[in-house]
Amino acid sequence: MLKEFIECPGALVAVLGGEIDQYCAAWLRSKLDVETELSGEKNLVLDLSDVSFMDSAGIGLIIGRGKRLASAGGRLALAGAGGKLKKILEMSGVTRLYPLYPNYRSAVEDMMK
Amino acid sequence: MSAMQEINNYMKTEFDARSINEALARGVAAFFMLPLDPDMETVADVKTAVSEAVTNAIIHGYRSEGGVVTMELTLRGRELTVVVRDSGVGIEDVAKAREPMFTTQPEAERSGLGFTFMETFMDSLDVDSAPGRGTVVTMKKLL
Repeated sequence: MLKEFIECPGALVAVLGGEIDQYCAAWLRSKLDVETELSGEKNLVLDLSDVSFMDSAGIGLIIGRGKRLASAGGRLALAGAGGKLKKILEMSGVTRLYPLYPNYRSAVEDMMK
Repeated sequence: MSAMQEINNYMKTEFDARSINEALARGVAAFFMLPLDPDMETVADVKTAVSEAVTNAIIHGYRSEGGVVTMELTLRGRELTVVVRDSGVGIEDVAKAREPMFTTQPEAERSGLGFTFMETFMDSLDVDSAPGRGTVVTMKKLL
């Protein structure tokens, strides 16, 4: 589920929530891609603090966005994931590709450096 | 109910092979375990594994063209067994399909981690499949 977009200097922040599985992945993917393009930002932060469930479809979504941004010279960062979700991100190797920050503000700050 | 009382239970459910039913399947599995009062981590593990098995049945077994997925849940004492069955195209090379990051649909942004998640979050995983014969995934976990 997509809760809101926050436009910050240096990055677009997408606040996600609820359950992320195959059912919502395709819709979410297109929404994120369109909004990133419209914003003109190269960098995207996915705020996952309100995500209660994610399976491998969510991992595919994250890696796909990361590759897409990289091909346009941008970067992807993750924020706010804790507990089980953090474990899934680490286990799948996603956090080695895209840094995980405690909250979206620290991710945006780091991207502006 | 006494904490020592052993719970034996069984249920079988069938649903359309549509992605909207992934949440239904993992929700049913979570409720089925409730009488044993498992911790949150265990419930999350089972929900993730069920979601992966059902998603595989829908998008790989039936290639997102529809069909019927069957899920059986069995409790014997503290052991949960989940069986997810489809009558789809089957898997040609099960060993290959179980390799981490292997996917037949990279263009669809599949991570290839479905079986890895099932193996990691459950105590055991058995995959019985052959081309044209559908797939039966059996997972067990001590709650």
